[in-house]
Amino acid sequence: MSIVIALAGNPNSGKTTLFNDLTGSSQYVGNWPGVTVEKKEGRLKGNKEVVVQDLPGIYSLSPYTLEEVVSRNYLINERPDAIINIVDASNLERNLYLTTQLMELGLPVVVALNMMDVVEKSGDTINAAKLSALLGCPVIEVSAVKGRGVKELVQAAIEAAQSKTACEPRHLFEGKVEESIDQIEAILRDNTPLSNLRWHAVKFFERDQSVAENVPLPNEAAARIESLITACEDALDDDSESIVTNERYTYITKHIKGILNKKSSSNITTSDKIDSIVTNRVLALPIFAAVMFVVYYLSISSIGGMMTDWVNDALFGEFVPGYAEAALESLGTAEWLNALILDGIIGGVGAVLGFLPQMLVLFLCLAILEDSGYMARIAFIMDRIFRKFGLSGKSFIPILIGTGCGVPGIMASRTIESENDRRMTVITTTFIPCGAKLPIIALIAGAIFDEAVWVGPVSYFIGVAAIILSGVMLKKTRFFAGDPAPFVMELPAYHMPRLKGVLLSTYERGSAFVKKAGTIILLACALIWFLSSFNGSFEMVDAEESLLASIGNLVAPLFAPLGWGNWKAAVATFTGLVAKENVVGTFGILYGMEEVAEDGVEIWSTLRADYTPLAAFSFLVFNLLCAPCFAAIGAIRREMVTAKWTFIAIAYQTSLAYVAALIIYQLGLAFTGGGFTPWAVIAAILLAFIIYMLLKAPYDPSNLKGRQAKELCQH
Amino acid sequence: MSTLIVGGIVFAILAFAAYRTYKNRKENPCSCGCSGCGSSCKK
Repeated sequence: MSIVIALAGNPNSGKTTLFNDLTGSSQYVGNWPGVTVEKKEGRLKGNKEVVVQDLPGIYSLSPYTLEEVVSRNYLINERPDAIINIVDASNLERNLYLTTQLMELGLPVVVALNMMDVVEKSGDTINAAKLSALLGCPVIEVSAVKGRGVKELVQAAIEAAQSKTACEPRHLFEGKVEESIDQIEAILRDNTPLSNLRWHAVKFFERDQSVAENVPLPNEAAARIESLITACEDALDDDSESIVTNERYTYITKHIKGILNKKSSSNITTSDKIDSIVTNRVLALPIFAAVMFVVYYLSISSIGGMMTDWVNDALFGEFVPGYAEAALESLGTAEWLNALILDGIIGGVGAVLGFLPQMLVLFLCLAILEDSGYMARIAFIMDRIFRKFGLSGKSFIPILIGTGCGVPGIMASRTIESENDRRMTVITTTFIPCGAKLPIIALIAGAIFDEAVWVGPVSYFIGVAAIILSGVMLKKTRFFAGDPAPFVMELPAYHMPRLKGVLLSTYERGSAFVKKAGTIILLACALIWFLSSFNGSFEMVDAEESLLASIGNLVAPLFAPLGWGNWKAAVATFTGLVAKENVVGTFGILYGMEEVAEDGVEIWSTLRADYTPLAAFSFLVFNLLCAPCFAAIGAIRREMVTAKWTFIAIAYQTSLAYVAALIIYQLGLAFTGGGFTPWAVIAAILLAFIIYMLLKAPYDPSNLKGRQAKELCQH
Repeated sequence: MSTLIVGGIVFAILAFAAYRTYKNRKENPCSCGCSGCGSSCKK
């Protein structure tokens, strides 16, 4: 019979790192709170009978956000055989708050004192035996990152699960509070069969509605409980929830003195000293801009650019197509098959894979920034800016995650309590360029702008600007109006990036990209080749007479005002909906990357001939901001719940992308002397509208009357 | 004959890619296939 062990703990305490260590999985680990928003299941390495559940981080069993509800519901309803409570030993007091609650659940608990390496490095000591005696459960010292103590922890958890002996909850509360909880426990015992009476009694005392709703009580019993709570509140002059919180912290503070010995009495750590510069009011933004500039410079222009040039020019430009063509000729295969392999598969997939070196450098830089602790500071820095515009910095965490991939970024919006802010974050998260958009940026930078260093960083800051501008504008509509949610974030301590972790993260993202190229992108390339090589009568024709050209020519006029109204660019944009890398793959096929390579002409030079720099930049901006890939649209649908809100999100993203590209191209054309068209007038009106929305007074619900105001209040 | 063999290999690769894409979508309906979103999630 299998054993189920749940990993529970505060956000960013190392649960997913431990989960990966225990199960051999490679779930995404982020050095900031709120990365895990859904529970994940895996089987213990070496003992498949043991199922390990990784739960989203929680500060307490009184949930406020959607992912906290996931954790609490699992622990209460599913009742695992044992809980491993991962405690960040470098923040012992705060982490033990949850521990005191987990002990009341009536389940076997093993406490994992994680990050002991950090504690030891700082010279502090923790008496694990004494802590174990205090809590009444095994306490194991571990370092999930270094794999230290993990075997002992698993052994202790399995033993605890097999013994089925629940931890005896310690009576944490003093006098009147304990007395009231005891009496509530007695009332519950008489009326309902509950296995974790103590926990329910405390929750009833806190007036936790979601718990009370699931425990039907006679009116008389409910009234007696209410009178007990009111009497206690009157006696202590505080509300019951605050009383319990205070009592728990008082208990922890009182007992921790003999357990945690701090070496230094000074509260200023090295991280604080670094933060005094990096998050400084004046220096923070220039440092952030400089850091992102360096990241994109390294990945697109310098190291990544050089490697990509070699892969594009030599590997997929000459070597692979050259050998493949020679091999196919010697075999005497049919012309259509040669074209499928050389133009479709090698030309399309090769065009995408050509950008792998740049992506690897970007992933490496992002992993270093994340592991060092700097990425988490960006959310803190952005909170200051966001707050000025009525937005919450909490919205920036999903955006940070979105730099890797938009799907987990969208899912991370669950950490936002306010429904309005959450919807707004879902809409804006994919504006930040994800890894899959990097090939598009690199293609435009390389093919049109001679690998100019500014293209990469500017693309990133266009994403940030679109998020801020959208936030400001949307907040002024009645659908998103409201005060920004408070943003409290625990900043992880800085540390030197761990080589293994950084390389593993880079490898995983890189290999996932290669797998994607070998599956969905390969299929898309084969389909695009077919559609661009045959006409309606299934005869092989030139691309200009193909089925794809017919379809592309139908939609291309839509994009003509943006400067790239040819069918190839229109088709590339649409194929980007399958996966953003397909934009590059489609260009690879339609601009004959393989044929260009044979001629020895510089790769992508044919692309340059079709677009002016302004049109190419407009194309880039549209593709950065428009509707994301289908996978991300699916994630939006899941998070938005309704089709109506999904449609609003996609419509807003695409409209903003269109308007931004139109303004850039038409006004750019007018200012550079390229011509003044009626579209320029429309672009100017749209720009004026955006400025009006930015300067407009915030939305005031009190101006509404009657039903409209009532609806908003209910909402 | 060579067209048949090479074509067969190419279509087998494409069929495998289609199967892997379908399997990935089925197992991780909200995943785009990258490591960041490779986690399982329910429909």
